[in-house]
Amino acid sequence: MWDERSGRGLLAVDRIGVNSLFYGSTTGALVFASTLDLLRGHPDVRTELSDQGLYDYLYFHVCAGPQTVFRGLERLPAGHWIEFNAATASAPRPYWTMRFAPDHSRRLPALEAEFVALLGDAVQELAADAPSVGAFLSGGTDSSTVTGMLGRTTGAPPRTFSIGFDVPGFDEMEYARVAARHFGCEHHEYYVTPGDVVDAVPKIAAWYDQPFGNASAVPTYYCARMAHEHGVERMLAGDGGDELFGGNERYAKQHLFGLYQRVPSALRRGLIEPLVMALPAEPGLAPLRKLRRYVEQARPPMPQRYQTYNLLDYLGRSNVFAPQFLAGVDQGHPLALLIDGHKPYADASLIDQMLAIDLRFVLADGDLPKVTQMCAMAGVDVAFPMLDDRLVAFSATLTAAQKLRGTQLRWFFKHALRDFLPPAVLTKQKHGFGLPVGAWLAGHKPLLDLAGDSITGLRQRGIVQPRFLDELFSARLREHASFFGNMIWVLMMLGIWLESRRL
Amino acid sequence: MTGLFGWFGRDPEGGRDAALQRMLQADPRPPAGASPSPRAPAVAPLAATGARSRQITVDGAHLAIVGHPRWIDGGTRSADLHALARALCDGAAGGRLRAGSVG
Repeated sequence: MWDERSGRGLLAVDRIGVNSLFYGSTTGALVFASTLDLLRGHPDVRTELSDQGLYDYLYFHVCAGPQTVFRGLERLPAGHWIEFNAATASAPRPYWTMRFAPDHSRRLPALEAEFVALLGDAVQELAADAPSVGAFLSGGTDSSTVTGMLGRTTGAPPRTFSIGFDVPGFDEMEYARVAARHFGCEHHEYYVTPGDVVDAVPKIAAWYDQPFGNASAVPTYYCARMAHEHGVERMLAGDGGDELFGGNERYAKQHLFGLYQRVPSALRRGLIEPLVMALPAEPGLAPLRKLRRYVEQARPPMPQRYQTYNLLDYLGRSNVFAPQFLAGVDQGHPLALLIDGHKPYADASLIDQMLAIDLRFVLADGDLPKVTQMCAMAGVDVAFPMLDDRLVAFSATLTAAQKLRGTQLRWFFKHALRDFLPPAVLTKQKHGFGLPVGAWLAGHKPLLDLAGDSITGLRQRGIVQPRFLDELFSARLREHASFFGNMIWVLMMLGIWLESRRL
Repeated sequence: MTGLFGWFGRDPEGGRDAALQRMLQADPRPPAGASPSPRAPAVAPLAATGARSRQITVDGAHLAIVGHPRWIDGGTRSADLHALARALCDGAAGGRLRAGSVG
């Protein structure tokens, strides 16, 4: 916004990060745009790849804001604004931050009634001003809830769209069908094939204005495209429910790790850890193996503990990156970002600490760009009822136990909707539109060839070690396709994206 | 692709219209639907592209918007962009933009 009367301007982005706004300084100007491509089109904006940005991408598998993959160009953090006048521009400042304020005084029936009403209001508001509305339906609690509310508020059968995979353990279509039947939907399905992936990956990688390694972009695109082909103009997506109400599987695991932190530190450090860590790395007895692994994963504090499973740490950074590249980056930067994001919530409950981290690093940096960009590529608008400001504020008043009760995920959400959602959806394990990356890389040669071709350029760039790439595509992929397949995917998307931008 | 773009400060050599066009053309993604012509206020070039962006001028305030913004004031909610423009203008001009004021 530019206000001619006051000579002041304002750049602002929504609270959660549904939309993006990038900016950079030139000599005498602050340039801004909603995509990096638009921004880089300004004649005075310098385009230089950031090694740190590339390193961070390979750590997070998406570009973690506020930095981008270009030096000096930044993404305005969610809930932030920049004000400028004739002489200066302010630094980004928050106009809104997530503030958890658990309210232990409210009675459950009143809370549930308010929650259900807010859900209905949120869906109704976003459905009201679009001529043709549909909903993503994975068969999970969020998409099923949005679907049901869409039917309830419009009084018409919701138009729903689902993606399946013909791979055991990855196909959730049956749950989507259960929800579709339950809510009387006009339901549409599509099974994504490995051939679809080969077709779409070059276009998807090039669509993004910086590397994007979340493989679920592929099924999201095909689902949005199917909706577009059926005349839908706006899709409603359930994203955000996990990060507001405590639905991600890792929350339960971290709860178990958190129990270890309740043991007095003197006992942990003085007795348990010396004893357990003195065990061989791979003790012969299974219980001892589990004990050692548990202590290894549980002993780091938050938020370091949250990255226990990071692929780069597992693979060893010096094994992955070229030495010269590694010497030029701050290897601690990704963790510093996490610590920065976690710091305001360090005294919150464990579940709220994790939700705060995920709102930024999972939702704003990953899932929202995934859905918004793939819908844009398919030609449909998208809106997120779960991220309605009233629902966000409501979620912040829930107590820790109402989100995570022991290892039971999103306790309140499910309890409140126990008579609304079908039982099979309420009890299913979370999965979503997760692509069977490893299985298809290992079993579909054209996809493996595409990945191999895509990283050819990376071999010459001095970012990753060619020896590591060889090992990844041979022994590692055979050893554990789904685990190491993710790293191949992330590198493939980087390689294609760099080629698409001729960088 | 729907988007907004612009700058505040010195115009680049070659002029603002050429720079705005160059920015627009730098995005390899085609505009979604009919694209409104970029409009630039006199001081701070501000433009929008794509069918899902909106650009309005209210009482000397120029806004480019992408998304589904709501103006929230107490118990009042509105998707009216003119109300949003006026409110943002008042807030920004007075330095009174506060937490919770932008939906």
